[in-house]
Parts: sequence; C-alpha cells; structure tokens
Amino acid sequence: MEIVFILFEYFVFFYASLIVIFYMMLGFLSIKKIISYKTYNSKKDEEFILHSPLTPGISVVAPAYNEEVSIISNVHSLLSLIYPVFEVIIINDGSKDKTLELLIEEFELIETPYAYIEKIKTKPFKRIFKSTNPKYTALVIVDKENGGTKADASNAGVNVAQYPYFLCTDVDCILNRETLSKMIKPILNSNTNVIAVGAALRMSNSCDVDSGVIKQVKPPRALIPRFQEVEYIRAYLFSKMGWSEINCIPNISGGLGLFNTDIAIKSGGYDSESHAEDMDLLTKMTVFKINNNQDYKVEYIPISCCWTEGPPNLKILMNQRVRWATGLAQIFRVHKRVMLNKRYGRLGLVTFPFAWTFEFLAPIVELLGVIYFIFLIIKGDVNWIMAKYIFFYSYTFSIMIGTMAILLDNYVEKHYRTKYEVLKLWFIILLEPFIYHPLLIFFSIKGYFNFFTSRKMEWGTMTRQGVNTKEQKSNTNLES
Amino acid sequence: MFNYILKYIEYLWISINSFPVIIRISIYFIFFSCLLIIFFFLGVFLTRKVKNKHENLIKEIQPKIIDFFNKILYSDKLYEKGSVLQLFNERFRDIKTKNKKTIISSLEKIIDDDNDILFSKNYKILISDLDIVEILEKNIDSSNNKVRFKSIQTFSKLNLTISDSKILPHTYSNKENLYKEARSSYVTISNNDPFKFFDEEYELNEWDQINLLHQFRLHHKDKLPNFSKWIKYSKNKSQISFFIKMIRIFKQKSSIFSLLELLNNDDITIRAETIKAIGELEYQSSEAQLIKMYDNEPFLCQKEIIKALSHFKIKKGIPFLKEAYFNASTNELRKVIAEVIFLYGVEGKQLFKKLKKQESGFNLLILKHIENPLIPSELKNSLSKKKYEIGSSFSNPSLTASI
Repeated sequence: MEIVFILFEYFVFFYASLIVIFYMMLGFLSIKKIISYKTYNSKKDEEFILHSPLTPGISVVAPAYNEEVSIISNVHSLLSLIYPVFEVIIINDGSKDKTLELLIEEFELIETPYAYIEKIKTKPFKRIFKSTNPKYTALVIVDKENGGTKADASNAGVNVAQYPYFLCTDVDCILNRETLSKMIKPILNSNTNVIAVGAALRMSNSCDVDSGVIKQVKPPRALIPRFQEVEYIRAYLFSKMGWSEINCIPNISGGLGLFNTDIAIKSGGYDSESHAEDMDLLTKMTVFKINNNQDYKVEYIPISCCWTEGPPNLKILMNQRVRWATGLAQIFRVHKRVMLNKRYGRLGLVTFPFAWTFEFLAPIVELLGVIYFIFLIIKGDVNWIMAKYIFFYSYTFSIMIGTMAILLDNYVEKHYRTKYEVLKLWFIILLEPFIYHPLLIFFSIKGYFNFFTSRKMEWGTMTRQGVNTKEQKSNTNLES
Repeated sequence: MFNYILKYIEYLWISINSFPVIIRISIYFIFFSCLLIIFFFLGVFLTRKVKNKHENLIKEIQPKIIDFFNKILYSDKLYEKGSVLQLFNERFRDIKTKNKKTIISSLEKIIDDDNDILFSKNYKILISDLDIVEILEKNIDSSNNKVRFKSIQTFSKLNLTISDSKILPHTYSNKENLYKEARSSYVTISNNDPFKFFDEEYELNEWDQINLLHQFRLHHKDKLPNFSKWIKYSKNKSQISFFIKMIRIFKQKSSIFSLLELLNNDDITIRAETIKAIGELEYQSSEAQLIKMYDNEPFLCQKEIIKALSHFKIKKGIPFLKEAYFNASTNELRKVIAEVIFLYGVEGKQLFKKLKKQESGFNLLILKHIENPLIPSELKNSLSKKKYEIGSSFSNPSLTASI
C-alpha cells in the first residue's frame, strides 16, 4: 500500500508540473498573439469596414427566456451596434413571463407571414414578429415553443439568419458598439477560411451603463463576480489567445461568438441536448471541415467586446458551473471518436487530450489530493516544511499567471480608471486559491456526478440584478 | 554586512541542496515565479503610466494642434514656405521635437473628418514645413514593426508619395501583414507605377480587397485603369475575383467582353461573381446566354443568374422565371426567384398576383413573405437604392440599425 501512496504523490507532483509547463507555453503564445494583434490592427480598419460595399452582413442571434427585467434595454443596446449591414434576431423561447408582451409594446411589433425554412431541427416554431416602426427594421423576433436549452433557441435564430455570418450572444450581454467590425476583421484578413471568432468577455456587475452602452468599466464590488472578472481575464487573454496562436481553440464562448452561418448549418447547428453547446458547435464545425479536407482557422481577439452579468451569489454560480461541468463531460462522450484520432489533427491530438487531461480531470485529481492530504494529517505523516514548499510552488504560480493576465489586459486596453481598481483586482488573485477555486472544484465534481447519474438539466435561469444605469444612480442619490 | 548576506545565501544553498529533488525544483520555481510576479506587477503600472501620458497628450495638446492646422488649411491666404513652421514654433515652442506622433495623428484626424482638406492650397506647405515626409520616412525604416506598419498607413492616408526605394523593400517583407499593407498603400503612395503589383500574382483576401477599394475610392476615383487586362492575364482566383468586383463597383462597362469570357471559368465563385457583375452592369444582351447556362449551374450561380435578370427587366425573362420558379429544387431558391418576379416591373407583378392565386401552403407563405414590406432583403435594397454607386457619398448613413 505504501508504494501506491508514493506513486500517487509523484503523480500529483508531475501532473501539477505538466500544468505549469503547458500554461507557461500558453502564456508565451498568448503574448506573441496579442502583440501581433496590437501591431497590425487599428481603429482605421474599422472605418474601412464600416464604409465598404464589400463588408459582409452579420445576423446577431440572441435567445431570450424569461428576461422581462432587462429585455427592452438589452434589445435597444443590440440595435445600437455600429455596422453597415446587420439584423438582430431575438428568439423568445417560450418565456413564461412578459418578455414577448414587453417586446411587442416597446418595438411596435406585429405578427407577419414569414417563410421559415427549418435548416436545423428545433422545437416547433410559432411565428415571426416585425416592427412597423422604420427605426427597428433590423429587428426580427422569433417566437417558438420552449426547447429546454439555449441551443434549441439559438438554432431557430440561425434558421432565420439571412447573412453569411451570425453572432451568437446572450440577450443580457452588453456589447461594445464596435463588436461586429472588430470581430469580422480576422475573418476578412485571412487566406484560410475562418469558421469562428471569439472575443473577451467581462463582468458588467458594477459597471456604469447608459442606454445599453458601457460608460465606465469598474471591477465588480461583490466578491463572487470579482473572482469571475479575474477568471475571465485569465481565460481569454492568457489561455484562449494562446490556443488561438496555434489554431487549437477548444471553444468559442456562448456569450459571444461569430460563426460562419453556412458551415454551422452544414455541421448540424447547436446540439439541443448539450449543456456545453458552444464547445459542441465548434467541435462539429471543425470536424466538418476536417472530414471535407478543407483548411480552417478559429480566431480570438483580445478586445473586451462583451459585458455579462456574472452570478451574484453562490447558488446561481453553482447552477452555472454545474451545467458547464456536465456539458464538458458530455462533450467527451458525444465526440469520443475525435480523442487521440490522428485524422482530426490538432483537434484530436492536442485540443481534446489537453482539455480531457487538464480541464476535465483536474477537479478529480485535486479532490483526490485533498482527501489524501487529510488522510496524511490524520495519520500524522505530513512533513510540514516540505508541504509548505509544495504549497508555495502552486500558489506563486497561480499569482504569477493572474498578474500576467492583468498586465496583458492593461496592455490591450486600459479599462479601469484608477490604480486602486487594478489593485482591487490583483488582491483577488491572492484570495482565489483559498475561496473561489475550491468552490469551482466542488461544482465541477457535482456536475460530473449529475452527468454520470443522468440527472436532467435545463436552461440556466439567472436572477438578474441589472446594471448601474444612469436612472438607478440618480434614484440612489435621491434616496441617500 | 555583505559577508553576512553571502554567508546566509551559502547557508540557504546548502540547505536547499540537502532537500529531495522535487522540493528543490519547487524552491527554484518559487524564486522564478516571485521574480516574474514583480516584473509583471511593475509592468502593469508602467503600461498604465505610458497610456495615461498618451491619453493626456490627446486630451490636452491635440485639440490645440488641430485648431492650429484647421486655421491654416481652411485659410484663403496662401502661406509661404517656412511661415507655417515659424507660426507653429511660436505657438507650441518645443512640441515638435517631443511629440511628432501627436502632430501626425492630429493631421490624420483632420483628414478623417474632411477628406477634401487634402486639396487645400496650404496642405503641401504644411507638410513640407513640419517635415512630415522626413518623419514618416524615418519611421518606415524603424526596427519596430508597429511603427513601420503605421507609417505606411499614414503615408497613404495623408496622400503623400514616396520613392520606390523606400517602400519597395516592405512590399517584399517576410511579415505577411506588413507586405500586404505596403502593397495596398503602394497604390496611393508610389510616384512611379501605382498598379505594378497587379502584374504579380499574390493572394488577395477580403481585407486586402476592402483596403484596396478604399485606396481607389480615396485617391484614384477619376483615374482608374481598366481592370479587364488583369482579368485576362492573372491566374490567381482571388485576384480575378477582386478585379471583377472592381469592374462592377466602378461600372467599367467597357470590360464587359472580358467578363463574358469568364462565364466559362471552371471556378464557381468566379462564375458567380461574373454573373453578378454582368447583372449590375445591366448588359441585357447576355440574358439569353445566362438563361441557357441556368440549368447546368450550381445553386450559387443559379441564384446570381436569377438576380442578374432582375437588373435587366426585359419581357423575355418572365417566362423563364416562371418556369424556374416551378422547377426550383429548394425553397431557398424558390424564395429568390419569387422575389425577383415580384421586383420585375409591371409584368413581374402580374405574374406574382397569378402565382398567389394559384399557390397554397408553404409556397403561398413564401409569396406573402416576399411582398411583406416589413421584411427587408439585399435584393430589394440594391434595386431600390442602388447604393454604394460611385459618386455617392462614401459613408453609409445608416450604420446603426436604429437610424
């Protein structure tokens, strides 16, 4: 038995060291990619895109389910995007609240005959609404039966999309007004077919918002969204930019992704049964290109284009992360033929094995490590001096990665007004391994458990608290 | 004191070496991480400092420079050589040596707001007095890619010319983005042969095409070459496709016979692009040929043939459209045909009415969809507005959906 314990100790150390090595490589790649992006892209490019007859159209697809609190301001925000040719498709996925009624009233909608061609199978489509007000010509409202997942609703939106590219987002997301021109650039500026583009997401909690536009970015006041802010900055600027450099991006976030409409449809669209529909779609699109012997690229841009309201409390965070973990487990089952299959090139030999080893397995290895550590404490076998070094080994690494992500964030764009705000974020990095990370491990294990015990999950509903709008601020002033 | 520190380091070194390998690796790594944390941490604040400085320059000095330039550029008075520099030095004293970047970016901003300022009688004097060309030529030889890239762009934006010996090395750079930008800008900034790179075969992606079109519209609107000569000799599909688009956009009707030859091209996208151009150039004599081609073409080309007919609007097209409508293999194609029938003048409207009486189910829904004025389409837009025609304003007034 003793030999098993020793082997386990060595395994954990080398597993952790491999993570360190891979992440350092990713860090190097992301720096390279971000510098290259900053070198060859400028505001001038957007001007060209905005005024060119060669610019392709984009359909913005945003599913909505019980979003009565924020739907009106969010649709106004989507309609205010700056781009020459686009439409905004809102899919009311059988909302039980007043989402549809509010939309009809605000945007002067009427039911209109529409030749809906079901290119991707969805739950029954009911009707289409269009606005009688010429101000809202670009708005299309799709009303359909509830499909239980965001994927089903998004598919209905893709069926209606008339442009060669569609941007999938959540209706509660606040987009940078130049999002479309920034995200289309990597597609235009490539000799290889770019099938999808992602951009960085951040937390809208505590930001100042006016008429659906972010006026001042601030780190979230509440602890949980602030942890997420750091997590997102690290995930997008550190990890995804690095993967993008070697064309091995595992997924484009469901909150914001620009996709080639034709390839998405030919790949079968979003999987309505999937809880990681974003990763599933990208995997299917990639597999489609590989099966047809066509070159492809998936790109990420380091610009923060989307602000989303992060779960404000533990319960909602748990729902979200359990769903993500279930989805990750689901992906490896659904696409098992891709894993270690050399036919699928980088996807099969790099992206999938890495995601399985260091994302799917990590919570399990960490949990086993904690259990084993408690066992050693009980047995009185812990060499505390050595344990201290091992702890600092991973702790300093996590601080180093977090600090580097904050540096990259400031290099790309200076979002926070004061140094104090940056420091507030940096202190969170020091706390993260003790508070936030253990929670995420617990939620992931719960998600895996749900998946392997086949528990049913539905639309990730979230109680919206809203963002700091001008109106809210003036009310607060009056109250005070 | 120094000896004490040395002894302590020695003690640490001996203690570390007495630990097991794994712990030793961990300790070295902790040191490494700590150093990087300090480096990145300082980097954050240094980066912010540089950006703050730049923001302040933009906020405080740029408006003043813009105001100064505007007064000169919009003045009726013709300034003499040297007078602009003298006025600038009087007003801004040592700004020229410290903030050359701000001077150039201010000038770019003025041109962004009003491109016609390039033709101001004082523009050339301002450029020469402030040594703009010299500054940019120096930047173009910089070892920093970003500076080189930006200065090439600025040359073209300010409508300045440069000798081939300065720009040509960059048009063959091993940095793809740099050489493509240099080649696109060459169209504007070369004082020798601006279109020389069209004789060479290289890949033109969609961004290069947008960039080149922008240069044409900005600087060559009235002196464009005939693109058909490159269509004939180029073997590169992306280049051929680009030249077809240019013929369409700049309405080069004299190139129509080169386009007709491309109707037999093996590449689907080139054929589709050609059909689109023939349609928009309204070359009605090609109608019979297009109709003859229709049945043997893939969906993309069939769609373009149908759309091309909508531009011709001659009576002969109606029977063909009717037949194509009934034989359409997909609902999507039927939708396009129905839309063209609807937009095909009086005869088309009559046929559309007949079809509405005749059809039922989903086909009837297609017809109702088409005639619904609340549902916009690319075809309706292009036929009603004929937007983006040369001579019209560059800027599309409806960039946001809510306008």
